[in-house]
Amino acid sequence: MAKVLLVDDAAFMRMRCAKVLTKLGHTVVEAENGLQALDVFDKEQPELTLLDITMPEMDGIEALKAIKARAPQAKVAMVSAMGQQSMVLEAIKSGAADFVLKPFDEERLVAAVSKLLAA
Amino acid sequence: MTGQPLTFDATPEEMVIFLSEAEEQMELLSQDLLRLEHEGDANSELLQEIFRAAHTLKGSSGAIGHQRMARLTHAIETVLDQVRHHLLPVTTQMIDLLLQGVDALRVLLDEVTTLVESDIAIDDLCQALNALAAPATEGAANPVPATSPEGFANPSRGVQPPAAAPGTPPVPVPVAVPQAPLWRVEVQIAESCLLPSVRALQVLLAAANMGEVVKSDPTGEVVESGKVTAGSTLTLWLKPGISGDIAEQIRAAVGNILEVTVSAVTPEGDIAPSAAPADADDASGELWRVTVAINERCPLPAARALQVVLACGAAGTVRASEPTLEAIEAGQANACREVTVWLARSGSAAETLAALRAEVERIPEVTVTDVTADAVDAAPVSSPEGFVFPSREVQPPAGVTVAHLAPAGQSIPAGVPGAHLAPALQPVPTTMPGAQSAPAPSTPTPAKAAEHPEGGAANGASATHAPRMVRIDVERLDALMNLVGELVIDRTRLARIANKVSQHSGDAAMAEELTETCRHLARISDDLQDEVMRSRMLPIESVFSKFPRLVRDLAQKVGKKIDFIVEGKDTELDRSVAEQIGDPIIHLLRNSIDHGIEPEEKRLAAGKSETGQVRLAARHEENQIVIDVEDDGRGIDAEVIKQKAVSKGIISAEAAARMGEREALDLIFAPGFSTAEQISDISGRGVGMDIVRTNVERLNGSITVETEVGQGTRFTVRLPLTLAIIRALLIDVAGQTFAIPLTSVVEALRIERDKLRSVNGHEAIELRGEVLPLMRLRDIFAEELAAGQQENAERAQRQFVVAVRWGDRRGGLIVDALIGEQEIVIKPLGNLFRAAHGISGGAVLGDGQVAPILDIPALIKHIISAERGVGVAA
Repeated sequence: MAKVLLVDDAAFMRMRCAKVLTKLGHTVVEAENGLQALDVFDKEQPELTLLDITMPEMDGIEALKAIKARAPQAKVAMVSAMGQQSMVLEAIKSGAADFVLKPFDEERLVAAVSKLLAA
Repeated sequence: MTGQPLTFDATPEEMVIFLSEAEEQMELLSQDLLRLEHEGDANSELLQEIFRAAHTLKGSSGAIGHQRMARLTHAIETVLDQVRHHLLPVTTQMIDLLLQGVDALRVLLDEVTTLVESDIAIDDLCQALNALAAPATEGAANPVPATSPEGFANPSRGVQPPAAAPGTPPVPVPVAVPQAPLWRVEVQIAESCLLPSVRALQVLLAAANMGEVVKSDPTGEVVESGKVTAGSTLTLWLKPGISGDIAEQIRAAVGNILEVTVSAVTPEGDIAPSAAPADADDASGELWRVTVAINERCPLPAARALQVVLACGAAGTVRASEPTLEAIEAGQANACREVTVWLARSGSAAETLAALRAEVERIPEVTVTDVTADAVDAAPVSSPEGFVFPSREVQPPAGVTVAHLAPAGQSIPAGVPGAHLAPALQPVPTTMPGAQSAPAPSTPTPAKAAEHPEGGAANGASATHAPRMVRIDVERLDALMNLVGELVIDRTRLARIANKVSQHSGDAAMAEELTETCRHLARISDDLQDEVMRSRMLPIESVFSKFPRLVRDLAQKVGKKIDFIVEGKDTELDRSVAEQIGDPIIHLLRNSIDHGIEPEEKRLAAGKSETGQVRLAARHEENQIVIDVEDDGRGIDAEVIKQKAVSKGIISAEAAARMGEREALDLIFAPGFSTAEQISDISGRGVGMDIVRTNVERLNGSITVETEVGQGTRFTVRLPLTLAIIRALLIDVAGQTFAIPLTSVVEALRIERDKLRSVNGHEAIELRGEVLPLMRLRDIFAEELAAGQQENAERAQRQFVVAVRWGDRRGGLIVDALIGEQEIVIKPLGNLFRAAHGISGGAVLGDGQVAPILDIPALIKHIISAERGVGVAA
């Protein structure tokens, strides 16, 4: 089972995602903004990072770029709300492997995470 | 329908987090909206913050399945997003609507707790918000999703284009890419142009209105990133979607744009304009047409389409794609369910298939449906120029099928085993003009992250929100407080018993154990007491936060412009006081806005700014909380008050004649008195001030008024703060600990005895060039302090001086020792110092000891009067 870094400024969203992931048997580490995410990323070396886009301090796009700069192989998926298409496009150009749209159902998150981890 | 029972998708535990976060975001929203109205849209941090609040709220409400809330927050977010990008100006009407939105959100949030649908209708509101946002969506620099012009909008479109059916002969040009003459448009951007990128963007947008811009130099991306220089040439290739004299229409539309000149409009047939890829091998290689279907359930097909084109770019050289990258990025492929890529690549069919599989099949929700060899010149004109191909960091997952591989138009049946077809993949160089290498290396500093303690990432977040999570009835806190009191008394008794046991019992070990347990219990109960006391305190912000909105609404209602200033929001006060102080302050604010501030024309006539100022300020003054409500309005004329009071029969004419100004002003607090010409629905019916005073006095407080006709009025409410926690410097004088409120402390010094000077017979030191008059606390409290201990410290070579201030007055207190800073809980005074001058209250210290709190204003007055020799009141 894998270690997944969950980055979202909303504790509620983290809690919800974490529940799904731990149920799958994954270990979840969390961060509440991009800067913190980099810190946790360095320390924990997660196999997969789920990045929210809109966050204070450092947003998801910046964090993605920073993560890919330090670990080009890192698997990163963006968690985005509807209406953030241009951001998602930018994220994909910057090396995001996938994206999950909020609000997501459990099934969808599980599918995305499983596929990314299997890759 | 109203009254419907509701269910939400969240566990009780999640719900607690949801509610606390939602409330936090709403509070932030309403505060920031007022700031936005006040400050305008120049503060980008504010714009980001307010957008984030709406955005987070939308995400969370959607996640619990609160559709109405998600819909409304979406509408709010859309407006804020446009404001954030300066596409919409901030107007009063906009703020009105957004505030209404927040009000409605509060009602909707309540539904989460009541689980019953409220009767609030949000359709009109959403519509109004959308209407507000709509005008800017057209021609916006950051295009919002639009329907694809080429039929991709229909998601029911088959996965397999008819032209690419197995066994059919190669069709050089897919149906999705209609042939159209291509026009080359060359535009010169003026040397004098100040914002060349904006002009270039206008040109591209104007061209896009007339058809499809298949390529441009510089690319749209370069233009949007603002890198166009003045005096440069912009060339674009347009596939027109218009009829008639195309050249003329292009000239007319583009020529309309300021600071640009159309230098050429020429038809170019279907030649790929300077699209020669850097990789010559690939360019001369075979051209493959790759068709990829996007799963119909995919929520964001444009992103998948982008991934497909980029992935193909890693397997070969993308000569063209449908939709084009520009179209995808411009939001014109939002309903696209199929992507066709013309890929130049040398190598066999098997290698091509393998390369494609490796690259494309790792993308979720897409299926490669067809790969066909195409004539090189059959590709539609397009270019992947300027786009970044990500490094191929992710391994392809299994499970995506390549349906067909058809070199030279001959289909290969599905299920070709990929394994033996897949030789090692060589990364294809994709160095193209304007392309940057994938993820730009940056060295982010994790400095800020260090602010979060170890493990804070996982747990700190909940800690951030925890203090806001629980609501407790004050009565419960009172009960808790009483229980803690009981505990402290028992603790003391237990300590005494332990003492006795250790003296009389022969079992020393057991006595020691008992004493140790008592000590531990003492520590715990101290902490408990501290926590309970602290839990009763809260910043007055919790009371003040709703006022800016209230003032705004009132001002709007009476048609006055008000500048509302709030100070001292951090001032802490006891919960019980906080809960009751709101209404009196509201009354005072209403009074200021309704009666105090004059109508605009009167203000202008009086030479004042048309905008009235209302100031609300809170501060601690010793063990009181002092709240000022001040306006720069017309002031209160004591004579007018007297006349009114007489006419209303509150006082007799004789009494009025004898009355001084202060007494007259006091009349405004008399029951049934109002100076308003008419009863207004804002200030009520003349019972306002009466009630204010009653409420304040019930809290053992007082209210005073100061006014000057034509200048303004200030109401000052003073309330006791029986349980305030303040930070204090603890000092020692003759073995007695005293507390000095830290707000009064300038600095603490240790000075050599010989630095003491005598100025007019009084001790003083020089502190940074100024004479600081001194006073010995031993002298002041000589009566209260044990006299016997005095001598030794008096003779000490070094002295400690605490420099204190009161307003702009300063003085120094000579003390025996500095103990340190501590948070203290202000308590009513005990017997010892009850009558002492220079003491304002008592503080309970950590060890249960009571320390007198020094009354710094009184002491400074004392120093000053002593200096002047006006007599000392010790």
